[in-house]
Amino acid sequence: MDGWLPPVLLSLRIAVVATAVVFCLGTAAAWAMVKLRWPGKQVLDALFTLPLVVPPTVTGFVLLVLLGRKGPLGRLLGLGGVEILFTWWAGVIASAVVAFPLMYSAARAGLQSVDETLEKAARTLGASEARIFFTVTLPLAWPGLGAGLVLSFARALGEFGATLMVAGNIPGKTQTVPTAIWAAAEAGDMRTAGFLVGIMLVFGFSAAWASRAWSEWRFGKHVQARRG
Amino acid sequence: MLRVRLRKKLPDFTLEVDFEWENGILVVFGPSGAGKTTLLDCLAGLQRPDEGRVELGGRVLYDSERGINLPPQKRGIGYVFQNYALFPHLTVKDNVMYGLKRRCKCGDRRFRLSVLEVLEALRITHLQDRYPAQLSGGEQQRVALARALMTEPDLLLLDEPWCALDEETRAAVREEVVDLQRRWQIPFILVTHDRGEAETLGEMILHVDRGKQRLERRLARVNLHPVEAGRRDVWCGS
Repeated sequence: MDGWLPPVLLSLRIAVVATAVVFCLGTAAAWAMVKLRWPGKQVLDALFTLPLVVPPTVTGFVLLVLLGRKGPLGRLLGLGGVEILFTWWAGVIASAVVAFPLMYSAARAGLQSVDETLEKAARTLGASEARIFFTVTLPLAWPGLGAGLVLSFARALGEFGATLMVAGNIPGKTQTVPTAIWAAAEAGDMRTAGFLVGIMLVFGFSAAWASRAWSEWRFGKHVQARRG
Repeated sequence: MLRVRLRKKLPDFTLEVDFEWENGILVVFGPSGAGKTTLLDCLAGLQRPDEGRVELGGRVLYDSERGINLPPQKRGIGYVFQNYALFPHLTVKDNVMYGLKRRCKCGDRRFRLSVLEVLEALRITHLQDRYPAQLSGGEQQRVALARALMTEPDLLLLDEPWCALDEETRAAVREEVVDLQRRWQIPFILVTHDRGEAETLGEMILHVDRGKQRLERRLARVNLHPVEAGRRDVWCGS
């Protein structure tokens, strides 16, 4: 049972970076979808949720084609001498794409729950659109955004199918906890696999518990405020 | 001086108004769905009229011919919304101070009143650290008034400001609004669908019904000067 630490660290690193990217992009996309009017919205909305409903191997295949040497993105990156496939960055991209729909739909629900009159009121009080976003929209949509953050982090941490296709399972380089579990179990190393499974369970439980405690604390504050 | 002439096409009819107003309370009266809120939104810059011109204190806020349409942020108009639209996540103090940042940056304008004076004037000083959800309807309304007045607007809009209040609170709040207008000396435009309220408060009543307007000049407020009540049906057409 050795070599369990690198996959754990790499999984965390990939999940943190992917979640940060997805939080910004998902919130921005949801904002554009809720607040702005433009043609083709419905089509894009369906496209944004696509990675949630197709198998991760399908997402992985599409990414493989796009990022490969002959793919449009791969060629572009190749001009700058950058090769993404089978590096940990490919793992970040795979995790981000797969986690994006969770962040996007949670953020969209959160933003939709904010009363538009409050934004109008802020406008008549002289606040710029950016100030309105950060002082009114974002804090009021936070319960939805926070839920999206937890869900997409969990999803990114557990990503397997797409990651395996674009990042591979190179020990010490692109091997994450899910791919390491698979590899260890395949090789009959049940101790290593079981140990990694235990780590994932502890992570998952702590995340669920922390998000519950956090929302309870927030909600408690809110309820107290309501009751006066 | 507020000069308004505007036209806006709504789904069922076209709203057309044309009036001038200096200093006092102008009541916009009409049934629900008559376009009253649309009128306020057009003045505040939250909705765009199809054509016309809005001028406030010599500044052109909107002019369809010259392509001028100032955003709500630059209009200097206070707006008290029907449901007050207080920020639920901010304390009374933070709500009231929300609009101050803008003026501070400009620095070219002197405040007539300090924050404390506004809080005192509206009797909400003791509520500073509470959240909107902890306030009664009347208190919420006073906070909304304070928040709007704090930005030192040149015009204050009030949309059905006491819809959510009980009869007793209403009477008190009405007096308060009249009193505030006297102290601030800026025009107030108040929307209501209550005939009695329109007659009690307005120095001028703008009847709006499905787009058509009619102006009714009132010499005095009924409740404050009962002696003059007899003269209240003097009409001054549009």
